Amino acid sequence: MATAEKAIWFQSSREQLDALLLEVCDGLQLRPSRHELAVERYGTVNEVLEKAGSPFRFLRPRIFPQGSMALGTTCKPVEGPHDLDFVLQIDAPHWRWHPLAGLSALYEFLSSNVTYRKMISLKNRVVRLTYADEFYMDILPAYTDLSSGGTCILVPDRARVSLCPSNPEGFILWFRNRCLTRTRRVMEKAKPVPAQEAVHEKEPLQLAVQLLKRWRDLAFAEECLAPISVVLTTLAGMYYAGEDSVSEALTTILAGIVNAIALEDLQGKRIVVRNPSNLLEDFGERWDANPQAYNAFKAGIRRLQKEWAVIVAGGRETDKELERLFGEYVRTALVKRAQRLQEARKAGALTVGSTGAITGLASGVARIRPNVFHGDE
Amino acid sequence: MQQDQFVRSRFPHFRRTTNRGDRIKWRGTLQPSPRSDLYDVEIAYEIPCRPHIQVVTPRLTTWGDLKRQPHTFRDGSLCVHQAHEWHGNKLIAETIIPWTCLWLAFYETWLETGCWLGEGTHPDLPEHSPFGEIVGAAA
Repeated sequence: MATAEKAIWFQSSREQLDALLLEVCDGLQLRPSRHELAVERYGTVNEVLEKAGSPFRFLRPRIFPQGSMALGTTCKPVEGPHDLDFVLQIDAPHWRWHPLAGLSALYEFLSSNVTYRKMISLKNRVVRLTYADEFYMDILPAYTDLSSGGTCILVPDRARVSLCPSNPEGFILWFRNRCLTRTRRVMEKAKPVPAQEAVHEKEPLQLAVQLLKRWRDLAFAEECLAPISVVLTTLAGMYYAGEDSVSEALTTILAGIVNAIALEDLQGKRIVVRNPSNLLEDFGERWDANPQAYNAFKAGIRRLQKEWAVIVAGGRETDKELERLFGEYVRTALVKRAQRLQEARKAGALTVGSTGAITGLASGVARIRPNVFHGDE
Repeated sequence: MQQDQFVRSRFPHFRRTTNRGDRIKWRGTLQPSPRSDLYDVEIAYEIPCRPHIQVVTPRLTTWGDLKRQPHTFRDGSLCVHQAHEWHGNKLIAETIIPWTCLWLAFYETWLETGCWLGEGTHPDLPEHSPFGEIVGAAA
């Protein structure tokens, strides 16, 4: 588990790298003010869907967040709006209706609302509300899947004109368990957006997923070639082996993914990324229609594994490599660390060890006395 | 010589390479953090001059278009103190070497960001500007 204190000196290369990555993830995740705004938006839409006049009112609607907000893996987009994902689940005899009836009803109902009329659009599976303050809210209408049971649902797909199996709640539970972390209390009806964890409260798996998503956002210039978040999240969860360190977690995850790809390559197949909580759902199915994207993913993840190994080794230029992979938050984290170093120096709290390592007071061979760097102009 | 005794006892990776009366030279490695490079440093001390500090390897590089690192002399050696902050009665092991480690730590951040965060003289030089002014703070 990451610590709340931001260290200046470190016992090992792994500890130093983990501290840097933690600070990068702090920059990546949704700001508390944005999170609060998301909660407010969720609450408002929830009220509209449950009030008189809503076609869903008597269908025992359950509204819950899915995706990065539910998983604790939010990652600021490089550009463009941040997306909030919700499921509107209803108990209804879907077999009596057209597969896209629920999606159409949701779209038409929200379009009739004065507030949402101008911000609404229809996507393949969701109704999207685009907020001027740079949010997308994607609402996925879904039916309880009685034949599969549990938390399985059926979701509409316009391209296929059919309902497809899914299980976002089950996925969230699976991921949280893979993190070996505490679960959150679940409300009976509408589920609130989970309180945002501070980055030092996050598990290594969550941090690793944030970093993988950030890598994806920077490495794939064409969005159509980029692996989708649920693929990265599922693969990370599958191959995470319980490491306490985010850097070690990434090493293990990348090895798992690259090995899995290699095994399937031998048979001329792509990796299958099944929803662990609903094996009928294959998150990688988009690759079948877009083999170029799968090839780009393979090349990208293999390259990332090699570059990551160099970074883990430490030394010259690795901070530049880190910045290339994860962006400007690396630079910000390095500056913040140097600023803390300077503050500790001014407080007379620094010593050096016998190898020249800068440490705290108790363990060094010499205290760093006050000085002023000088030199020729 | 007392200076030699303290340098080699406090920093075992340093060895004496020259000892001629009032001139002594050491060579050793310093690594300010676990992920830092291992810097091979030579310190030459000739009474009554200030110690001369040179990073032998890796070759120090510069940021952007700058031709030199901050707080160095024209010959590329490091300047880790003002003249009045050191004299021959002060132990090199308790001053020069720790200050060199600190210089290296700030050098590494400067190399990545262009900003020298260890302060120093000549505050009007651009590398002393706040981070946000140089590279644009991240949101």
